[in-house]
Amino acid sequence: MQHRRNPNYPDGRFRRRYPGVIIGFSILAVIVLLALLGPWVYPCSPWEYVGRPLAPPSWAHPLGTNDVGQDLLSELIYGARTSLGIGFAVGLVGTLVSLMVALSSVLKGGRFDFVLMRLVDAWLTIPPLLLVMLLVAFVPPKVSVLILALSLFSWAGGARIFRAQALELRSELYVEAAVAMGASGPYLVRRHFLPGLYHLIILNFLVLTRRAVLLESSLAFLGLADPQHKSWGMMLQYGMKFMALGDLWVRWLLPPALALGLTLISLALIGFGLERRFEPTLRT
Amino acid sequence: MSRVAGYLLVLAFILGLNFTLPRLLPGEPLTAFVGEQELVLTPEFRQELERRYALDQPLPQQFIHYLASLLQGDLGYSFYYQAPVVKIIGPPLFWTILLCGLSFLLSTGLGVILGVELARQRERVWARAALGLALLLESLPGFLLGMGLLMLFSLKLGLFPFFGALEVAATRSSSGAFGAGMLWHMVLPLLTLMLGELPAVALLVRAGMLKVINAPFVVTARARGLGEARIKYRYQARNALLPLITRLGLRFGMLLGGAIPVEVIFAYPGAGQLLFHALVKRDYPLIQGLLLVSILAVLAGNALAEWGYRLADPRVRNQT
Repeated sequence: MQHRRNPNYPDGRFRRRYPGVIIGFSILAVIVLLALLGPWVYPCSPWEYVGRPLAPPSWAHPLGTNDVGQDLLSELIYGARTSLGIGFAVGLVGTLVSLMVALSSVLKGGRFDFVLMRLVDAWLTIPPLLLVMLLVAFVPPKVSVLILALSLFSWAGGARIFRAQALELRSELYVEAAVAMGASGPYLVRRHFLPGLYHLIILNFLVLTRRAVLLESSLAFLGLADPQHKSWGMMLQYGMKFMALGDLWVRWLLPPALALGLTLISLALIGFGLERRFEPTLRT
Repeated sequence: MSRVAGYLLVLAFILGLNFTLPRLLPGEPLTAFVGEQELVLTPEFRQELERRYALDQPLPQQFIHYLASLLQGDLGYSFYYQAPVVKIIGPPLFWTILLCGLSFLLSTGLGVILGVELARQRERVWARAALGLALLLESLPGFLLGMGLLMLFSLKLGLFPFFGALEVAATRSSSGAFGAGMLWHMVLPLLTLMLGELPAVALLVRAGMLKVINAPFVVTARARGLGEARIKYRYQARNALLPLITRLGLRFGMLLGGAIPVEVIFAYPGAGQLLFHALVKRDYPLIQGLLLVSILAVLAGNALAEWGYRLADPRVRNQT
């Protein structure tokens, strides 16, 4: 089979130099596949009462059931959909907002830039977990609300980083030349800023996704996330009440804890590896 | 100057949110102030309450009334606990400050030492293993670590207590036993918080130090025959000081937020747990009061970091 090679690493050095990225991607791919295909491979609703409460594992229900007789494995699968869905959505929305703020700030410059950046500074001091908690106390925490709330408190850091890099790009001679020849804002963004920022965009997306998964699981663990959607944090919340009951934790607490831990670690591994790949000075 | 403006902006945002959110609730606005019992109030008492919260006046007057009562130290009245919010949050804040303050100090101190050694002995096997472990711990949420520790040490090994901050009959025991019980209950929550914070500090110090590990001024210092301890702390680790101050300032303000899941897991009677219960009970005045207190802590953390910069960096000091 013909292997597609990374043109920068024709002899496959990438794999040897950044094993973390490969490992992280593999783990994440498995979890994403589980989330996407799980319901077809294992067709069992996490809401249906399929057996007696706390039933032990069987062939039909490999992880057994919870305290009201719902299947634990399908809870795990649907939990992956919620956690990853919210994580990726917040990563996407947050990064997009950061980009828009940073680019409009750099393109407009002047007072607009100054005011926007002071706003970013102020915004960064607000602790996201507390504010999201306050919001969900007043607004019912549907998934869409959670995505919006988490995105609302995750764009500022990226905006500052993007702006710094975009400012450097802006002072490059080839950008100056393009501006002098009357290039429009959209053209500059498409032709120069996005290509020049793409590695930061990827890293920022990974960081935001990781933080969103972490925050969502914390909220769900405290019982403050969307009760209509099973999530790993929710499983842990309910399972914790039964943690002292024999070996129940092995099939109720351990699977979501592992899934959550592996997701977060894989995202961190990818981010850490790519950061070193993009930023040679970090290689020590 | 713009910093102060930034702080005021954040404070104004939070105050605005605190003011607006209860008034956006569907149904009677009074619900947000007195809870569901609003339904059984007599008309006279209802009017009395509406006057007290100025709900019968237009919004601008309501806002002024809200600010005025805040300035008088009135954070509202908790309808679940049937007491003023200011009175309720005292003891839990003490426990949180004790727990988080200790974790803050210990993880900063130990984190700096660990970071310095990680950088200097980076080729050693233990340092590589510790680096991996630190990255691993840093990416896990606090409540997961807490649950793991609770399972292992309280449930399986029975070494530490399950819940609370004091022995059940603590008031009757001697002061020595009292203190021991207090420490005993604090070990696991403290460890959980530290496991979340210490790796971050160590990684930060390590990264800052590696940048100057063989810098010319370090070589010179060695040539002058200075002791290694002096070189690593006074010369090398110093390079990590500014990012460390930033991080500590941020963490200082976020202590309460980070403590919530941990306090809930270990049923530690701190402000985080109080906030959690307030959220569950929809005790809006208490939620808002706690939020306001923690935002003040955030701003204080930032101001402290700002002050730290001035102490640490002459360039910042001479700027203005």
